[in-house]
Amino acid sequence: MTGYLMRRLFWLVPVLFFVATITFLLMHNVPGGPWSQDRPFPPQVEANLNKKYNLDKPLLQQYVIYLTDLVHGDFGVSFAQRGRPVSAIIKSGLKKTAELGILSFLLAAVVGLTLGTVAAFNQNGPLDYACVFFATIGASFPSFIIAMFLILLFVVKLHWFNVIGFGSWKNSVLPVASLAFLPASYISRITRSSVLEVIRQDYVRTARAKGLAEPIVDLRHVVRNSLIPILTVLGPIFAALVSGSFIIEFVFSIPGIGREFVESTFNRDYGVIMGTTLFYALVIVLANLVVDVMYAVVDPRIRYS
Amino acid sequence: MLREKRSPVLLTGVMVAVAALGLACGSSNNNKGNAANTAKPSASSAAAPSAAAPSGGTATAGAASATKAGTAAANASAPAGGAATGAKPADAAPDDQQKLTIQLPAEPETLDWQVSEFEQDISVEHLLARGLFYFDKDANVVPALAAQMPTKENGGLSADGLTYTIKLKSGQKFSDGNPLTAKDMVYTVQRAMDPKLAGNYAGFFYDIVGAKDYNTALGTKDSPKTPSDADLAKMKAAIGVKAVDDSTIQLTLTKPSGSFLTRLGLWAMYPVEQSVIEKFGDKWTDPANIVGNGPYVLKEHVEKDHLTLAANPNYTLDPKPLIKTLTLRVIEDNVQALNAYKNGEIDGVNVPQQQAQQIFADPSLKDQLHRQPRQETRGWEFNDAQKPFDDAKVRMAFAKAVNRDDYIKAVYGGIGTPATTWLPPGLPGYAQANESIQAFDAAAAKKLLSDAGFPNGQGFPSVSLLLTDTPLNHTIFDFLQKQIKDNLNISIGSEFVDAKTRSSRYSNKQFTLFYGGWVGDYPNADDWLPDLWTTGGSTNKPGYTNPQFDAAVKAALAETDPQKQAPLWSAAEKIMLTDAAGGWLYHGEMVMLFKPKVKGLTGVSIDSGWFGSELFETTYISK
Repeated sequence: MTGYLMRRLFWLVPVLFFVATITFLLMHNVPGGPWSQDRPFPPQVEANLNKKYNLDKPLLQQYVIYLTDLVHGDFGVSFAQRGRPVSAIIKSGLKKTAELGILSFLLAAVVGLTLGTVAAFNQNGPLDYACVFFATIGASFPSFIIAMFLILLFVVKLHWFNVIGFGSWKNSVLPVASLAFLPASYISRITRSSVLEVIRQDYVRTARAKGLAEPIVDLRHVVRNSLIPILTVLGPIFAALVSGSFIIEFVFSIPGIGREFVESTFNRDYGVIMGTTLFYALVIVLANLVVDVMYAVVDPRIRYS
Repeated sequence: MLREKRSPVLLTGVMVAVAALGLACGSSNNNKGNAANTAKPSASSAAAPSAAAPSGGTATAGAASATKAGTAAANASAPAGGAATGAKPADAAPDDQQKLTIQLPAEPETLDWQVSEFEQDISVEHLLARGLFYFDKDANVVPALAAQMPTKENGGLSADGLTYTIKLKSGQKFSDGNPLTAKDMVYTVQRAMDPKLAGNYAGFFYDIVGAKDYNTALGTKDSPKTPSDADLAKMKAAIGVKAVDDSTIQLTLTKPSGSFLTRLGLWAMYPVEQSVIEKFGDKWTDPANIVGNGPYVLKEHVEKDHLTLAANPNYTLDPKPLIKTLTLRVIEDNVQALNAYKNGEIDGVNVPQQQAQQIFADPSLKDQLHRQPRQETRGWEFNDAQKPFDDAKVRMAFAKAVNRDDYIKAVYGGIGTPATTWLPPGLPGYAQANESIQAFDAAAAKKLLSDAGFPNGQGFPSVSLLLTDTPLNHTIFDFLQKQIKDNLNISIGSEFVDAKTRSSRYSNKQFTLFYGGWVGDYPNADDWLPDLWTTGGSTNKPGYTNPQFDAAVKAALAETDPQKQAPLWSAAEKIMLTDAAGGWLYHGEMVMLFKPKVKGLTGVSIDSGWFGSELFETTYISK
């Protein structure tokens, strides 16, 4: 297991290098640069800016400078937030985004697993229909529509919550709920079908036949065995949630990393593009690794060596 | 061009992105590129607030239009009696209630005022520091740190118009209590021109002796220069600025200028304290380090979240600020900002175009509405070097084919005013007589097109309008397309791209038809006509050229008396309007809501950031 983990972690290096190279090439090849504006700067002012941020050097040299700095833990600076270190931007953005993402993930997982399981055990009953209805709604409405609806109802009409910022419960409920809606419904659908499939397995019938109490059959044999396909999707969902939601962060004015990720691209803010992309790649790889490890925990047949 | 940094988030773009991405991975985001948001430069396509500068006569024009639009005129009028002198108005709430929270529509790029170019930055910096001059409610230049306006009569300006000798008011201090002297002003000018600092507005002061040499000392990518530190120091010392004594600064220009004192009032010339800069380097703008001489000090700055400012106890100018604590909440989405306003989370908010009509019609909001025309013009720009727009008749046909009144209503929700001139009302040089040149006239437009060889639009080559992909710009395109179809029988296409792509294509002249414009930096037409439209001007991307116009601009620049200069600008503008160098459609306006308890707001055409930001000290919370 340790050897497996070491090998997987070692693979991080080439993966990140590959991502860095591709991103660097792509971002320097889209039209426009960080200083492009309608009415351009006087050429000299732009020249001073390029000089200050090494943008006057040949691309290959800029790439080498970037990688060298990166190896030394220096992610460079932002242009759009003039001179602010990218590491500081990621750190402060990540704090907000991670809080939001983890809360949303927990909410989505709890709600999704519960609804999915309840629906499966009550297949074709009213509870099942109710759960499927929820899942369909959640899956068909994008998060910002849900967010707008929640804001109209709970902020503008009822004045229960705040719309701006994130931190206190009063301004955290809506962004967490809006963000959790889609993954919750997705998880509930996967859970329902997975549980339904396991319920029909021979070993479940065997467990019942040998006289096990129903709760034990349900929990130990049905739910546990239905977790594998669910775990597969939980990894990417977790990675997606903690790496930020541009839309939810934008709507609720939350200074998270999801906004940096998108806005940096539009601003041609090279340092932030590189930083957030590498960060996202790292999260994805690690989340997948955790999922693979979790497989082994829930399914004793899976062993890594 | 003063730039507005905002996130014109394309919810339409986002919708597509979400739909495409959504279900598969269970996440609603992380789209690497398709969600459109924004870029910092106010792509001149977005309706960008900035500065308008009514001076004298135009302030009235502004007020008149505000009244017409049903605004509480009282809001825009002069502050309550005592406020002007810094005394507390009778109806002001106690000091511990003098707290205000308002929307800032974007995170400042930097708070280093020698570097900034964005409105958000400037509105904050204007509270943290003050220069030699600033602007009154009619956007006239008046002394701030300077004891008086330097003139030839009082010896402040030499007979040849080249040397300004400016006395400082006595007893000036920085917010840390240290004295502010002429030496600090010299350091400030030198720092603003430092090529290694790379300030965005350095180019505005190239007419100071030696300033350009120093600022361009590092050369460009194609012709790099490598001056030694000693060379740089020599060039810095050669800049035409010196401290005659502790309270007198002298500046020497290469040629006389009618706008120099106005430009000295800009943020790039706000003083900085040398010891602070040298001690903290790039981190000098952190709340713990930053030192200015403005009415406020920076207490807290959480990036992309909020800035908290507190009244500066060491503020040496008048009036003193009445609001004791000002919180600026960074909210890029105007629609949500309005929801936050309705929910009582913030006290001041920009009115989003989508909801403007509804708000204008709501009687309960009437006394909360504040409107101020801005120095902003938008409209058609053409590639004058390419067919079919190399023909002035075709350009004029496009200019005359758009019904501006409908345009402002349908596209901007009634925010802004119809434009047929390049210079906005209120700017010295704006002339009402020039309004008729490009006025809407469908029949005349049709005839011009026919005269140009395209009767009823027949044979007109296919052209497309280049725009940034924002919801507002889609509305703009839909409207303009229909007007051109109805009035000229031409179908124009569209090209929606992201802001940087659009800018880059504009810079490289890769466009036929463009929606562009200008936001004024300061109230003088020398910010609007030279360079942007003169032959070979570095920012004249449409490629307009007319020797008569060039000569008219030259004549206006040579005149330094503002009274005599204004008609010369009007005459120059008339030429470029007659040639339809561009076709102008829209003048900007700042429209905000403030809670009824917020009083003493004074709108100025050069407000940036929020209504009343330029003369913010008179704002207060009433009982």
